[in-house]
Amino acid sequence: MPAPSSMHGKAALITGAAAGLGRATALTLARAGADVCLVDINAGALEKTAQECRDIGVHALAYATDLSSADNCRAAVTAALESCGRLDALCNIAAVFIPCHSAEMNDIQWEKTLAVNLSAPFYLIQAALPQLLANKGAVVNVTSCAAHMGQAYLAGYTASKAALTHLTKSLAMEYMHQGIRLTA
Amino acid sequence: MTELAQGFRNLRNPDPELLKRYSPLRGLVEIEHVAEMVAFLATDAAAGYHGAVINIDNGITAG
Repeated sequence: MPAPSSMHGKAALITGAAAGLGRATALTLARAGADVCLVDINAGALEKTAQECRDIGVHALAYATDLSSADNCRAAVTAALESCGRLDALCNIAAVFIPCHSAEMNDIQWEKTLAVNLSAPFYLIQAALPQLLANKGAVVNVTSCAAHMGQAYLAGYTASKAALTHLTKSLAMEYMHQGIRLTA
Repeated sequence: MTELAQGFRNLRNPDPELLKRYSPLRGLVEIEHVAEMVAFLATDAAAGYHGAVINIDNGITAG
């Protein structure tokens, strides 16, 4: 658990923050003192998480958007910077999970899975990079044991998580000497 | 993982043998435990972690 005040004066962008792991991470970082920019497609639940963070005593922005668009990803980073004034951490947690028989998976389901689980983290990292480099910040990409193990009925999801894992490692190599940290 | 497991409920006629892969012997991992690791990795206390891929799966990938 992060020490209290260990994120004081810092700001984090957290995707998937309306519920589950994203919400729990937002609250944990808020308790560590971080201002938070929360992103999710579910505006109502997202605002609830934001209010819970504000009740802890930090600044919280609820930014509802669909991360399957590159432009929306870039706009989310811009909004985070305008609201928090800086960015020190990016937690990519939002994910699409559609169990189905692969023969029946339609184009929209496949493309949405790849867009939100793989492309969105890349576009968000790209947009946040100047701030993260300047602040020696961190990227945490939440993948899954599905990145290492094949799983029936989840071809799109497991492929997206394996790719996100390798994206993390390749960016870690590319930015090896520049202060920013990337983990998964 | 709890939410992930629930997602399978809508799957028509899955082969139960094939779903067992995500059934850890020690039970599903708690969201709070994962959140603590994600938040830790975001802080300077995790300065030694770069390019690391960390499993928090309650033993799923152990064997």
